[in-house]
Amino acid sequence: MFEPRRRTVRRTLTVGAIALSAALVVTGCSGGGDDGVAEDGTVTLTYNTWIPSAEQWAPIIEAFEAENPDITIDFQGADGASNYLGELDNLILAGEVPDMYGIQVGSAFDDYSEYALDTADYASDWIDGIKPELLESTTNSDGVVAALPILTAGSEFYLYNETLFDELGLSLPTDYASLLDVSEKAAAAGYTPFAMGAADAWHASDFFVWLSNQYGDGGDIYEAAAGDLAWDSENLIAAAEAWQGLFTDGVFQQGATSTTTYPSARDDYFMARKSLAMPTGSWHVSATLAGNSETPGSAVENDVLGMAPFPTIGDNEASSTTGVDYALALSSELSGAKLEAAAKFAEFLAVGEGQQIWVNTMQGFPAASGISAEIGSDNTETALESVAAVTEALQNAEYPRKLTSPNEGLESDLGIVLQNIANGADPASELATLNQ
Amino acid sequence: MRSFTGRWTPYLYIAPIVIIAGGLLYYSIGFAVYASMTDWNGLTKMDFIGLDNYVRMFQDRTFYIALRNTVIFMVFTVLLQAILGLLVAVIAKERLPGSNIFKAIFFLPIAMAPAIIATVFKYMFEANYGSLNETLRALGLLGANDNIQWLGADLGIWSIVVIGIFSWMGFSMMVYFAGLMSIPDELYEAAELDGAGWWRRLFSITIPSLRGTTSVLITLGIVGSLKTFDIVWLTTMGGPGVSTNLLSTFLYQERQGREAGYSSAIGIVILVTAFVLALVQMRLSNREK
Repeated sequence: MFEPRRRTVRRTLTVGAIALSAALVVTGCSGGGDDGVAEDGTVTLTYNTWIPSAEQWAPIIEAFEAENPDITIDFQGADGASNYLGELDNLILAGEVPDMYGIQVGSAFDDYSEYALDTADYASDWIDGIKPELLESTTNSDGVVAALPILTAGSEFYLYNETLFDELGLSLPTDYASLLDVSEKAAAAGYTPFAMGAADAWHASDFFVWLSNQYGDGGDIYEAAAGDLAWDSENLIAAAEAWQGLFTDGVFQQGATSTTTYPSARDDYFMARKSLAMPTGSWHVSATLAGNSETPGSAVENDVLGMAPFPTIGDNEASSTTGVDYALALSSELSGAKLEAAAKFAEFLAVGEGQQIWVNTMQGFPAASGISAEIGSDNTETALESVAAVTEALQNAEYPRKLTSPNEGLESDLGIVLQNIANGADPASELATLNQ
Repeated sequence: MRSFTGRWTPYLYIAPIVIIAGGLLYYSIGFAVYASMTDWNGLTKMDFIGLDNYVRMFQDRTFYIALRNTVIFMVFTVLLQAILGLLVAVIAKERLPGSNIFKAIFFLPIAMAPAIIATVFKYMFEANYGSLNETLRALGLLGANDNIQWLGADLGIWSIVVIGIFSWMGFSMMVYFAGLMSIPDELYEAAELDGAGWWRRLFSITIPSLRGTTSVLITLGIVGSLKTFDIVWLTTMGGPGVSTNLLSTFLYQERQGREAGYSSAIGIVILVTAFVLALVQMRLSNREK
């Protein structure tokens, strides 16, 4: 009696199972489908990046959309460059290359440039507005300029709390002896002298690149990275010993190799008013300016902050490193109206109003010729001097900030070696591990 | 005679889960096995290099540090979680005043996200201004300018073990508590009549009766230890250097360094290790039965 009904139920379930299986297969195999161009001609572009920050992005996009109301940019920011690169890798592997994406120069540039459009296809009319020497960094091994340099940055600088320096009766250090003296007095007063985020491979590496150029004729580290010089060569060992000295001499805090630059060194030490200063890169001069987004609500909110080049530690006078900190690439899959729209945004950010707006935040220094930061008159004298000092240091920079190497993971490997050295390992034998 | 559709009906019922498991799990494992035999950088380059990644791994000092740390973490967390969990469960079963609050307190970490636990411990363990060192200074157990680097190269892995135990001890306690409830009270009453004390009852009745529970907890603990990533990455990122790396963080670090083929090989070693250890544990457990 119930047989027909049971059969119907079974058939229904069977059909359902088939339909679900088919749906899974179909959804698993199909792509997004949205090409980003609406029927009314408006274009939506995806833009994946780690900077600009949300605060920096708001005025940039406002100005762009005012000029281009028919273009919408779907901005996908990420928390930090390393997280961003993981996300970008996943998107690329999934076949969903963003229409526009931020890119770093260095060893991995070639990989990402494979998915980027040749700038000659969309920027040839205005690319000469970018400082020509920077284009070398965004040229891949096939000789294609695959990305547009947008901002430059350099190392090594330190952000300092001038108010705290004054309270303790201290002056800014100018050489290693005064660096030690300041550190000793700060520690005696219960403050951390220089809050170093040595847990970050990128920062340990940036610092060491800057430091190593103060030994011999300078530049040995780039040869070592290229495989043309042993890592345990004389000048690099001397630099590694000096690096170790910064920890053992108490310039950097105990446990510095367990401290990240962001957020720990910045938030838990410097912004918490527990350290006099924190070593960092030129981009952080932005924290000295009025209206910055970092200091409000922190313990240093009412203090005067400044930035200065880190004093010489080695045999030769310290010179900042510099290089393209941020470049913009356009997907090689772009064409038609989307390419036209992306090219407009690229021009806006590289040589147009977008460049000026972003540069004014001091996130980085302009890659475009003829543009300089417009700093408001409401800034402190110290902030203005800091911007001038950092600008001058970068203009006189002799060496690149990032290493280029056949070993794409060199920065990470070098960071680990430097952490081991900071914790007391033998500099020569640790550096030798990088020779493999 | 069954029709063609009838014969295939059972297979169609399980088709969705087979597709999901096959596509998401076994395909991924298969791909990882293949990737482990290539020099894949995560994006472009992917040439077959045979077993080179495995040879390299067994010559890599970081692998041995990560392996040692994983073994330390696994042994101590599994062992101490089980002992402390059992102890707390046995005490909680006594129905003392406030035992429900007691259970809730110990179970609370299970309800907290590992990221929150790791962040709280990171601040507690911080060398210069962390609450643990500040407390020791306030108690006069540490000099004003001295500090203990709880997350440093020497103590870091032990601090991570403490975090692991804190995070999961409540789970052991609840599983043991459920197991304890299934032991008949008559057994304890008979033992008491025979003059068995508290400790004797614990070792002669409670622990043997909970053998199955212990076996499950050990298996889960082994697999959980091999998967542990968040509490390490959010406290030490495997550093300083590579001193607190577990196999899982070592894998992630290599992937970040654009060594996707190599990190796949590490993943396969973790998978095989988890499989073998779980198998051994189950065999041992069955033999005891």
